[in-house]
Amino acid sequence: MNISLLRKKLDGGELSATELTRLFLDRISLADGIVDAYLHVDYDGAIKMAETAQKLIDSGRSKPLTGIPIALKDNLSTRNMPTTCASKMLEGYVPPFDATVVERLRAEGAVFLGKLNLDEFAMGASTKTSYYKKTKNPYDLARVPGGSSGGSAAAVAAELCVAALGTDTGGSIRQPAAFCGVTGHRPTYGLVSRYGCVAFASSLDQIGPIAGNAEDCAAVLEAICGKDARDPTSAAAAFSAAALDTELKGKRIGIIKELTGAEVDKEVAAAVTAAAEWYERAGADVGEVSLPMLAHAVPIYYLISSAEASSNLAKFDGVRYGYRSDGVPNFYGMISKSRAEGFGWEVKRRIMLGSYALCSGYYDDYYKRAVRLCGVIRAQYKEAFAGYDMLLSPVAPTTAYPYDRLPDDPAQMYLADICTVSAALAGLPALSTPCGYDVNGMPIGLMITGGRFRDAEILGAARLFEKEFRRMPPSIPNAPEFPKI
Amino acid sequence: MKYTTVIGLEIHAELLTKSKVFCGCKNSFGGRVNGNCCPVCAGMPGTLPALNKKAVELAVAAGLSFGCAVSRLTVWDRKNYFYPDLAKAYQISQLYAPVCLGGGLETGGRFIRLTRIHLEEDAGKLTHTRGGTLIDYNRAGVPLIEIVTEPDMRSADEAVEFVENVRRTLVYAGVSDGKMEQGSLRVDANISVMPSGTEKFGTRTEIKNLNSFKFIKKAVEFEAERQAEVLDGGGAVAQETRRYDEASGETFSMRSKEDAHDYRYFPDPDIPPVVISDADVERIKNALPETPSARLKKYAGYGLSVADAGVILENKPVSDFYDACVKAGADPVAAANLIRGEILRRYNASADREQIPVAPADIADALKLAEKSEIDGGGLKTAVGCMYLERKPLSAVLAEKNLFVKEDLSLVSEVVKRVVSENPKAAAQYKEGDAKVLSFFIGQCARALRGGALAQTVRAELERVLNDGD
Repeated sequence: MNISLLRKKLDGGELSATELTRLFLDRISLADGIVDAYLHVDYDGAIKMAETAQKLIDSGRSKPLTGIPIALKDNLSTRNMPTTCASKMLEGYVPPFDATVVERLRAEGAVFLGKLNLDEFAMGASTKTSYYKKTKNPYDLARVPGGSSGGSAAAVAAELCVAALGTDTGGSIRQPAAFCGVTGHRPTYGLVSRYGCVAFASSLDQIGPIAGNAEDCAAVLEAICGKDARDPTSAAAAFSAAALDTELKGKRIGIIKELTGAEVDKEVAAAVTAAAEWYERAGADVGEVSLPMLAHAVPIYYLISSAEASSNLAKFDGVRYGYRSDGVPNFYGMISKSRAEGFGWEVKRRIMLGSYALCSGYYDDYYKRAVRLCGVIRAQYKEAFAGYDMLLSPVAPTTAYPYDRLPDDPAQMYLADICTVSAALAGLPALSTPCGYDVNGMPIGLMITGGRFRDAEILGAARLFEKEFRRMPPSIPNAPEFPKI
Repeated sequence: MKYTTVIGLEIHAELLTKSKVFCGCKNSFGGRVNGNCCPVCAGMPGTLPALNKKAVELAVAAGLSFGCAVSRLTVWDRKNYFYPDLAKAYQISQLYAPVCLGGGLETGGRFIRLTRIHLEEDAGKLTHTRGGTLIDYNRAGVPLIEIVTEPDMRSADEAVEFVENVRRTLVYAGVSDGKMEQGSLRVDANISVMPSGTEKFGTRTEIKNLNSFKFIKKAVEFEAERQAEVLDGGGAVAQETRRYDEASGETFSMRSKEDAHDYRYFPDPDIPPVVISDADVERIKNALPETPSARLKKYAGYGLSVADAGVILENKPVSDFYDACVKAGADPVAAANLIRGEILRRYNASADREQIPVAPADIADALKLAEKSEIDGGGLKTAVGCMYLERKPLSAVLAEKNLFVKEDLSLVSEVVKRVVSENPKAAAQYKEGDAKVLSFFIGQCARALRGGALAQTVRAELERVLNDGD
């Protein structure tokens, strides 16, 4: 199943948009109780959108995503569905507006199935910090789907939607895509408007697609990208799915030395090496490239992202929307109690860390130094891209781990972000595509990082790899077979 | 002990943009509660600020009016603190790279230096009721500039005069409407005292949110007095933020230095730096009208008194009109007199305070006619009145109202003779050399002639009759 195949069937009248949407809604009601990817399923709304899409199709005005069932990470604002960020703080909150990406998908005639689980306010790499539910990895229900876009990756892997939107601040699209064996693309910073995405770290947050393959990711990306007057950090850059690279000959591909050594599991490293060898066989010039600063990227990332988060999340004070603790007679007491009760521990930890990094007296040593070192990372990437077109690395040091083996020490958890945070700090496009399976059958992700606004180049390279790579879809115990479309 | 008061000010002025600084909502005073409010104003999750470049241009215009150095890069910072009127829990402001640096303004012969001017957004408005606190976000996101001075003022009166001067300069530049009664202009005053004759500043306190000239004066005077009493009593002034209570005229401690906020400023990642090009600055500079300070100097050069110049400068449309009249050839002093009287009387009574509906060239022409005695003082007043109220050109008014002086010389002669013969005592005084009685005679004749003759005609006839005894 992929978008272009569905497009043909929908436009050819073989399948109606309503039938397709019903297939997915039925599957969600049968299987999402097992996977727990969705926080909200919009049964009625989806059917209505499908009917509207069908009218477009009937009148011959369908666009690439018209009638395609898509689901949204629940930190993307939707005016007809709750937007909770998987936090008690926003329980029942329905935004008065649509995020720009949501607006653009509506204009395409896409069908929204519902909202997907995530780590609370997108802070985490397991989706375990969600206030509402634990999403399971479709490959092994005892394991995490990764995060923070764990619901998005699990839903795509379990065929509970055709494609999903996720957000990536330090790896939140790529890592769950890797853990769930699907393709996830973090666009170049600025390619997609952030308006309506509940901000975690504004200088790093990017919205991007998670789908079954790179081509589908490209189709979704084309629909959501482009300058938006409401987001001054959005760029006037274009992306076209038709422009994906189709040739690997002469491409210079660098394997990132700092991310393929002892930092990662042997099986992971071996799968990435095998992928690199495939690229070499396919005609690319493959070499090794060193970006020494990447070894220090995790603390830099946590200082910057937490500093911004401490400010971005200050607005949740119980005054205008969201959770408010009752019975406190004064303002500061009310907001303190509301925030104490409304936020989970991971969110509080990062707010504390970020506030500390911005305090006068610590600002220069922490925040400012981190920003300066982020500049060094950017410079090292720039240097690397002078010699290479794309960079290869693993997405995560391990495959998905069981829920009961999650480290208690948050710093330990943070270190697992080593492979993904650097591209985010540099604002570069990076994607994850499956390149192998470990001894337990858990998927391994290959990360391809590209130059600024070279999204089509890495998506093209991933598509070529995907044509050769044999996927092993998950089989979810007790879940019904998906009807053949 | 005698003390000298040292004052530095932070003047907040709302900018005259059509829309708010980070969204498309209308920037206007009043209106339905939360009527000019959108998800951005209310700090809804996911919203982002989209900069209104006009606000930056107005801040640049303010800077150019005060002779500041204008930054070529506008960078924004977040000032983080919790308060219900601040929807995002941070104010978008400028700490590290303000839009303007330096500059200043001469006030009462002294040059008061500015430290900086930076841009920021205003917060909402709270209303405390029995049932709870209500929030109106109409003002949230209205662009502000904060003008920060050096501690250069030495008295409450000087501070007030400086603020008046700043206010006028901003209004002239079209930067702010300067309406203190609507909160468009608000002042925080930093005050300290030091023994007179010494140089070392004392510990300062900051009084927040003074919203009228009267309150600035009273608050500064009270606070200086309070600090002097503390020092005279052997105490030390505590560095703190204070609030001025309008009812009692006293200041009260709000928070001490120890309780001061750590605002955790950092560059706002949502707003890329905005470049102000040399061409932008040049364009803004060229569009700026002459500042009131420059006009004051010019008016003094014309021979106008400080009081007359002040009256004309008080309203920019009046000053513009005056300048246009002078440019059209009117005598500056005569034009000033005419404007102080006939024009201002109508302007002040008029609903339209934006313009004066008389052609400056007509004023220049009318003044010339009066100078040549073709119309008299009364005619001039009538002409101006008709032009203002009936919106007619001078030529039409002169013809319609028959304002040219037509003298019946035989009547003048007859009246003069009668008045002289009726006042033999005064005539005798005149002959004895008391020239002052001449004006008495002129007045008597004018009354009898009821404007039928020019003063100089009457004067000449009187002199002839009184001297000849004819």
